Amino acid sequence: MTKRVKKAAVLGLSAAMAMSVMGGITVFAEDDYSGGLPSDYEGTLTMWGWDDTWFECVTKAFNEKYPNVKFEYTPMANGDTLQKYQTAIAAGTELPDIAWSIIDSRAKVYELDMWEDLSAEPYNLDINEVYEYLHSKMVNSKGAVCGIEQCLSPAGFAYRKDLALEYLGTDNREELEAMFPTWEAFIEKGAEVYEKSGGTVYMLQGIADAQQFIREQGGKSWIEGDVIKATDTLQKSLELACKLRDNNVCDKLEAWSPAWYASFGEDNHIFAGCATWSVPFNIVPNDPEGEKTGHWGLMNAPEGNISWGGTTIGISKTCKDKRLAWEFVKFATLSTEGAQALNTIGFFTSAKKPYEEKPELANWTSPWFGEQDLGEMFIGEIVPNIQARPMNFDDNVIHETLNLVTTALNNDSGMTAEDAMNQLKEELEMRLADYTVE
Amino acid sequence: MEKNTVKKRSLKQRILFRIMMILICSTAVSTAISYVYFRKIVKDQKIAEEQTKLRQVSRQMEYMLEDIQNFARSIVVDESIQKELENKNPDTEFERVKKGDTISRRLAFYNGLRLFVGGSFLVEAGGESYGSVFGSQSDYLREKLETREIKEYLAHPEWTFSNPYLGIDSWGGWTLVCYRTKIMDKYNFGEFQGTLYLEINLEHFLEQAENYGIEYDGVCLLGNKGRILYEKNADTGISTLLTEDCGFMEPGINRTKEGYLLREKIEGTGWELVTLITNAYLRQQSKYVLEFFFLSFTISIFAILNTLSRQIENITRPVAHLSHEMELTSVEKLSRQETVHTRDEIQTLYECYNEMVEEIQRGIDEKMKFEKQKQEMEFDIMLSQINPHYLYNVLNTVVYLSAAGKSKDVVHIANALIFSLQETLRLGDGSMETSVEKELELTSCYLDIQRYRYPDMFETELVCDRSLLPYAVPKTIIQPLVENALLHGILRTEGKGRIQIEIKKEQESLWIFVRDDGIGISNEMLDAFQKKQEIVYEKNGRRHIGISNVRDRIEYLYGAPYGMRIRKCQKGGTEAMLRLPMRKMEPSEDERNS
Repeated sequence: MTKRVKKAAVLGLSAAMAMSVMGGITVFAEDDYSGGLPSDYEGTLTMWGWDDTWFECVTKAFNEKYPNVKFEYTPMANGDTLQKYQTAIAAGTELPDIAWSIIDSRAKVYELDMWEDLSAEPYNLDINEVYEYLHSKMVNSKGAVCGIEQCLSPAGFAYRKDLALEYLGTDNREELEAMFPTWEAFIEKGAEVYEKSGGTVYMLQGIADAQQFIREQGGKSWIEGDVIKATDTLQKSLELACKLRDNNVCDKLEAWSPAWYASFGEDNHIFAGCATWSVPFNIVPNDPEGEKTGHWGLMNAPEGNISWGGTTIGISKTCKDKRLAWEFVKFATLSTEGAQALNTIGFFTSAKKPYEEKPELANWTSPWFGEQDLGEMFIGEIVPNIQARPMNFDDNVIHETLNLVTTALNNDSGMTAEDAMNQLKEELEMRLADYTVE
Repeated sequence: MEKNTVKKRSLKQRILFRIMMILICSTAVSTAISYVYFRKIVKDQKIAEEQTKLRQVSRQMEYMLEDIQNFARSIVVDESIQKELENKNPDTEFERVKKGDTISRRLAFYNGLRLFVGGSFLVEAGGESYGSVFGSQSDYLREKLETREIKEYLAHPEWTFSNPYLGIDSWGGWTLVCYRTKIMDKYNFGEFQGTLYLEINLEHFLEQAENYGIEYDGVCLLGNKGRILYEKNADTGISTLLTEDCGFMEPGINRTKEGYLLREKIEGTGWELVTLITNAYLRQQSKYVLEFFFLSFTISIFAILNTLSRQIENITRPVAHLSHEMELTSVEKLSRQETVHTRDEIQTLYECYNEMVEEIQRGIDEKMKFEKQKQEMEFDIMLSQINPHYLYNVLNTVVYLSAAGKSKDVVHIANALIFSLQETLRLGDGSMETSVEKELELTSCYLDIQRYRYPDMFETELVCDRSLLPYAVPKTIIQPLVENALLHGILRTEGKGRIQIEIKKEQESLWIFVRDDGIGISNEMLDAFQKKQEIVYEKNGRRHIGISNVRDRIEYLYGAPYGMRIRKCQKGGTEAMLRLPMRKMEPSEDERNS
């Protein structure tokens, strides 16, 4: 190339760039999913979801960056996720662009042929950007990454300081943790509290609250191959359920019922399972007094903490603007901007990088918990020690059956742990006939 | 005549102004009537449209109810639910829990099929209840069944839907209304199994009303007992209207102070959809009619006036032109206008004007001619009397008589001449007449003078009653005839002649005869006289006005039957006969003063 040609080429390129800048034109490659979008990008994303707080927080922050992007949000109960998606697929109607998946039904939902594999082209997600304990909860049986966790959901025990002081003699976290190294110790104290309060104060709201922890602790998979390891993994759960029932450790409130929510503002239950989302969802709206008194504390649960709940967001195959959808998913889950937005509502992003860039994102306090740094405990103490139970396709069937048995066990004082185990096995053999129940 | 200096309006302006006033008034009235009429049409049409829309929305809600009914029926006949309901007394607690869980899951499954279903629950005939959200944990359901709205609903079996309540267990904080349907045993006819309750998102219905209400503020959905389920804008006062007037208002169109209240029943629901079409809205809707009529009125007036102005200008231009010309005529001169051929009164006006102008012109011409004639006659009379030759001859006679020492005769002639001159010069006093007496004196003076010139050549005879002396005769009327008789009758003969002047009254006319016995008038002269030609004798350059002057003056002054005739006398000579009106001479200004 001669000098003259080079000079002309350089001039032409410069002119084109200048015109682009002067004209306010931002050039971007539609196929390049790694870069950002023009700030004036226009588009619409649909979502069906159940976490309005997260939705409003994240979309508001996203709209600050991309003001011309619109969202259409349809509220949906998380228990309806599988059915709603199945109905849409079977009826050939449109799925949401950004598809949510609750942990309870996720194994089945991820097997639906509706997900974009975020680890594949053109998204090329590196799953190692997300905390390791979540990896198994983000992939389906084919190894496709179907979604990214909206946020971390480590859970410990929240406790009412005033009640603990009154019935347990201390509101000090370390002392309480030392008091309850095991569920047996918890049950023993629970009986004392019930007796001391004249049958008005319980350790927990319902048996399901205890079961949630007991089942998830240990990290053992419920299914190995075609064998359901019922005795191995669930025996202890049923035995503890019996003891919890017999010692009146738990109240009889059904989880997620209005009465259960209301109990956070009442003075009848000392402990409550507390994931990161529990503070804005359960405690803050139901305990107005707590803001002034700061009468809540967070501690490690007996026999260890768990990962409780969790929702992933992924991209459906019917999404009309996958480029925009990916930009939103990245923003909401992986970016520091998204993490900052989440931090304002007490949520912790599931990606590691934002905490490296802004360590303060791992700190968060709430007036309901006084001076306690909840972020430091969730991220610094609970997350590294979570032993996540591997997810299986039929886990939810086992989960549901176990709930039925536990409910019956709780209602029927004459029912023993052995009766319950037999009933569980019988029911599982009927429901999951392809498996061997041990 | 003094001209009116007040500024006048043109005929065109007057016509145009009056037409404009009439046109504006009539068009305004007709426009107002048309506007009122069309506004009524627009109003009726708008109300009919709204009624149709209201009916459509109402039908849509009825279809929605039908969908809910069909949906509820499909739940009722669900095999799993029917099977579980048949198992009225489970053997174990696990069976009971499992039954509740199964029913709850089926209800939850169905809920997922309709986005507008916020929840559902089923109350068995035995009192056991199952909910789609919280399974068989009946604490929650018992609580729900104890809510005011549900208790009210249970107390009113005729209600299709419950009153709205906040769904605390529904996502998104929906406001719900409850719908129920009985569950009967599929296999045992008439056996009541329980009741299914569907909690419907009220928004599902309100969307219809809201969509309908996009255009209006006054939209209201009434639920059980007229309870307001939805009101677009409370400021419209529709709720007040409904509260106050619910007693007498019927479904359909109701006239109120604020406008028209349309009410449409939603069959099967016990609900009503109500809309208030306000007077302001109707005015707004009919505004375009007003604008149309106003525009049409303005354009029509402008177009009509513009066209009329031109037409009227075309029509009035000849009149204006004529008027202008007449105005000029009064100060300048008459001129004939070219006739316009409009075949109407204007043409007639032009023709009459032209005739009038011609008539006036003719009159002016005649007057001028008369004046000229009069001047000529007066001049001729003067000339006849003060002819230089006549004076010369008279003065020669005076010289001769003076030389002959006949001073008396000189005095006599001079006095006669002076009198003649005085009478002649008095012609300029404006009077054309004199008395018989004066005229005879003038004639006598003339004859006296002529007697000195032609002594013994003629003799005269006067026959006149004294009573006739005051009667009026034209000035210098007898003297010319006497002069004519003397100069052209008698002097042309060799002998002495006689001149007779006879004045008499006959047939209420004054008759004057001047006869002579001279040579007699020639036939040519007589013929010329009878043909009313001018007869002029000229001798030695002297122009002598004669009998034709006398004739013309009498005709001019009196007309028929008065006049003058001449004839030859049988014995020779000529007789001039004058017929004059019998009218006494008015005393002159000088005479009256004296």
